[in-house]
Amino acid sequence: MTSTPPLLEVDGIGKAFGASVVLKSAGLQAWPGHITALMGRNGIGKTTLLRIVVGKVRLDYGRIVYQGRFVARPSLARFARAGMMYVSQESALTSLFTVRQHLEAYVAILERQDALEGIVERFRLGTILDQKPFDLSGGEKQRVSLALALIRQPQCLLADEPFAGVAPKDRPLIAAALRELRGAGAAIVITGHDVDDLFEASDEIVWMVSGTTHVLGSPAEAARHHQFRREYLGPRGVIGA
Amino acid sequence: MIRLFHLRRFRNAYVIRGGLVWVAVRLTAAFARIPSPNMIQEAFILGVVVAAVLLDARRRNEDLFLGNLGIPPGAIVLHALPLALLLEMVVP
Repeated sequence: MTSTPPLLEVDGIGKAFGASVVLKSAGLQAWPGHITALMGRNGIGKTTLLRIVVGKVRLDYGRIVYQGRFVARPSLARFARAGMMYVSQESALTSLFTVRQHLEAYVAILERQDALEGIVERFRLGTILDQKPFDLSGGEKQRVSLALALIRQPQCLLADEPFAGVAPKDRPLIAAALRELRGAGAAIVITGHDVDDLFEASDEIVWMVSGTTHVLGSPAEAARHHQFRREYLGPRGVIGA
Repeated sequence: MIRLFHLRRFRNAYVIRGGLVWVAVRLTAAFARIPSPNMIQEAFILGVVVAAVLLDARRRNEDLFLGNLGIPPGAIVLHALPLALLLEMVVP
C-alpha cells in the first residue's frame, strides 16, 4: 500500500462466541498518516475485531503485530503506553468525570496544558464542560472523545463508529479532527456505516463480510467494486466517490 | 501504575468502592450464618471485592478511560484492595 511498513498489522483473526462464529479470518493494517475505514453490516464483527486488537475480547486464533513486534497478549494499557488510543462506540468517556475533568485529566497526565483552550473552542465544548457523559448526546460524546485524541496525539487511533449519532453540522468537525491526526502521522482505523462520511475521510476501504475482510483499495476503487456495490451500497451507489 | 495517583478522584473512588463492597459481602456472609469466616472464606471475600470493583469499573467505562492513559486494571485492584484487606483483618 505504502512504502512504510504498517504500524498495526492484524491478520487471520478468528473468534466464536459459543456456537456463533463471528470472525473467521479477519484482518486489517494501519499505516502512519493513513486512514483505513472498516465497513460492513451491523453485527458483522467490526467492533469485535477492534476489541480483540485492544485486548478487550480474547481472540481464538490470529496474529497481531504492533510497531513491528508480535503481540501475544494484547492489552489496551500496554498499547496506550506505546502510543495507541481506542475510542469505543460508547466513546472514551467515563461517568465519573465531567467533560472538563476528562480534558483536565488528559492535559495533566500528558502535560499538554497548551492544547486545552484551543481544543475547547474548536470542538465547541464550552457549553457542555460541566456535564457528565450520561447528559451528552452520542455526537457530543464523539466530539469530546476526539478532542481527547487531539490532546493525546496518538500514533495509532482505533475509532469505532466515530460518525454514529453525530449531527450533520458536527460531522465536518469529526472529519477535520481525523484529518489533523492523519496529518500528524497517526495511523487511523475507523468503522461505520455512513458511506459518504467514511469515503470522504478515509484513504482505504476494508469491507467485512461473513467474518472475513477484503481490502477494496481507495474509496474510488471501492465504489467501482461490483460486489461491494451490489451487496453493501445497494442501488444508490456512492455519491461523489 | 503511578499515573493513577494523579487522578485523585479515581483513586478515592476505588478505595471507597472496595470498602463498600466488603461491607456488603460481609453482611451477606452474616445473613448466610458465616459470622466469622475462616482464612479460605476471607480470601474468597477479598476475591469477590476485587471482581465486583473491576466489573463496576468496566460498566462505567473507567477501564477504557484509564487504559487509554496507559493505566492497567491492576492499578484498580491495587487501590480497591487495601481498605477491604484492612477491614478484613480488623473486623472479627
